[in-house]
Amino acid sequence: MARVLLYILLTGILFLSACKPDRAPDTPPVSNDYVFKQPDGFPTPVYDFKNNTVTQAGFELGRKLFYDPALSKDSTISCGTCHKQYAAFSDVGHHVSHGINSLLGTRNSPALFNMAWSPTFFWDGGVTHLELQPLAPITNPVEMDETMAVVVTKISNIAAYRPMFKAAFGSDTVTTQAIMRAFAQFMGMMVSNQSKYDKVLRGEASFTPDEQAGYVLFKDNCAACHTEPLFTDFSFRNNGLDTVFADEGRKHITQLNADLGKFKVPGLRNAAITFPYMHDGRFETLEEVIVHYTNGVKNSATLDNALKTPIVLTSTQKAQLVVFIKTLTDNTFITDKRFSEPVK
Amino acid sequence: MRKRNPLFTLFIASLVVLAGCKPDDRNDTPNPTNNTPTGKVVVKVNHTFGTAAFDFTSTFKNPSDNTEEMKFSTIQYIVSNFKLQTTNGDWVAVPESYFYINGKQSQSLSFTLKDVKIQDYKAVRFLIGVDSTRNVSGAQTGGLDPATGMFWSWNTGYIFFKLEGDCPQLITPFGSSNFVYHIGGFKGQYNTLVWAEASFGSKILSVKDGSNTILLNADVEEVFEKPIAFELTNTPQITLSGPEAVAFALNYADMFSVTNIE
Repeated sequence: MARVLLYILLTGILFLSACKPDRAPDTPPVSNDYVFKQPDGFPTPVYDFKNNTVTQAGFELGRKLFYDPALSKDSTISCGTCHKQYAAFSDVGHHVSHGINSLLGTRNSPALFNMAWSPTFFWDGGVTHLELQPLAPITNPVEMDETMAVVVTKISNIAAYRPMFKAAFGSDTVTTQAIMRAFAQFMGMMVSNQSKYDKVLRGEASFTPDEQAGYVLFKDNCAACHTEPLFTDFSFRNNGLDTVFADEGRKHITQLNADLGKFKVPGLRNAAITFPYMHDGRFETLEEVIVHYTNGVKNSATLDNALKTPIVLTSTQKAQLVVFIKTLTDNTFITDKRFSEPVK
Repeated sequence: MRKRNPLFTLFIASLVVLAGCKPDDRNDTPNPTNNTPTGKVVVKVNHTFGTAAFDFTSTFKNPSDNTEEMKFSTIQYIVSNFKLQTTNGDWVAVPESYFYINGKQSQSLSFTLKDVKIQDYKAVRFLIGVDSTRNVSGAQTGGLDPATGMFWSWNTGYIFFKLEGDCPQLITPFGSSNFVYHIGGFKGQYNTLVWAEASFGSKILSVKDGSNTILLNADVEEVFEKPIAFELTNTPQITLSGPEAVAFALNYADMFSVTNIE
């Protein structure tokens, strides 16, 4: 009798396992690597993952899309073309972005990480939602120059995508929303918090004396705008680059004269590997950037108050500041296989 | 009401409200709950230019100028946040009502209001555009799918209304005779959201089981007439939110009327 019961029980268990949804026999178990984890010391993300819970299937779909040149009009460039993982997803070495047909954009391609915390996107903050961010480079005539309607058709016609959409969102119908949510999962998971700086804060490492001195200088002179732990306060400021503005910056969005020549304060994590710097990529090195703030700030009507008095640093202090900024480089992030181009 | 020949005298958009950032919910009764019986209302959109039929091949004269000739290539807009007015005056919101209209896509010229509370109605009101909430809620579907092109990808927000075409009297700084009006913006003083409102005149929309139909007319000539006598040569292009877009939205706010209830 006991044996019969045992058989019934075992059969039941087999049935139950057979009923597990959407799991092919060879699929690895769900990994903790594809769950959004709130980093210690970071604020609550701006992007609400409750409406778009990260799954491995959704993340992998976003990853495939990120590296797929089918998103551009002539199928030559992908997001990954201008956002290279080894450079913290910036377009290292390019002053401004390069689009299809070698067209040049007007602004420096930003690094990508910690986007879940960003209330706005782009140098002028024109885009206000992570799910809507990819629309801009896809449709920009000097970037990917494609329409979303054509992107949806192109992706629908690539057989490999159908099961991925089904696994990620329950339907193999390709929609703008599904594409954007997959992107948001992939990009939202790009968290950079494994730099030496982070390890020092967690007590897992310690600064050298120069790094420590640089950190103190940073807090005194830079942190008002480049606020820890994300190293930006996400505000828009005129940092004194020009007196006449070839790019009107934030004003392009708000149409307010008070916003002329203002650009978003960039986060400085990984700054050492995301050169060149500023919205137009005019500075090649961190040293040049620091010299701008000590000696190069130009006055204009919208110049930020914080820069009206020049920052004073000795050459030793400048070097210490650079050494500190280098502790913000996150080698774990830039080599994380989850974010690399999938093998074709 | 010259130029109009619908079944009954029209009342259009007497109430043009700059809608603020949110749909106007005053005097609304709550949305029907799941238990309340509901019906469907089909809305069919027809475009005219004054008394003439609207199309993309004819040449139309600007009524405010009488020399400017216009041949249209695009008319697209979003209508949303439908409300129906009961015969006793209450406005009842139709949940999740967002529709994309494209003059060149016949399937877009007919759409269905679902979950309409069963009752008798005498007027309809809707937003031309998208409420601020949905402007900032991430990637949307259906009538709000950014793939329609009704979206500013570089400055988050929907384009509420698009009108494009050719006017031979026009020479833009780019040397073309094309006019391009992309109207949108939902923030502060440059909010271009406008309510359209149309009475059913002597007719009653009696929502029961099965569907009823509202025949909605959109008179493109109204875009050029009032409050501002709009001349294309003065303003050949509007593609940003701002004061010109606000003025243009006030001009098109009164283009809708109801010609019949079936």
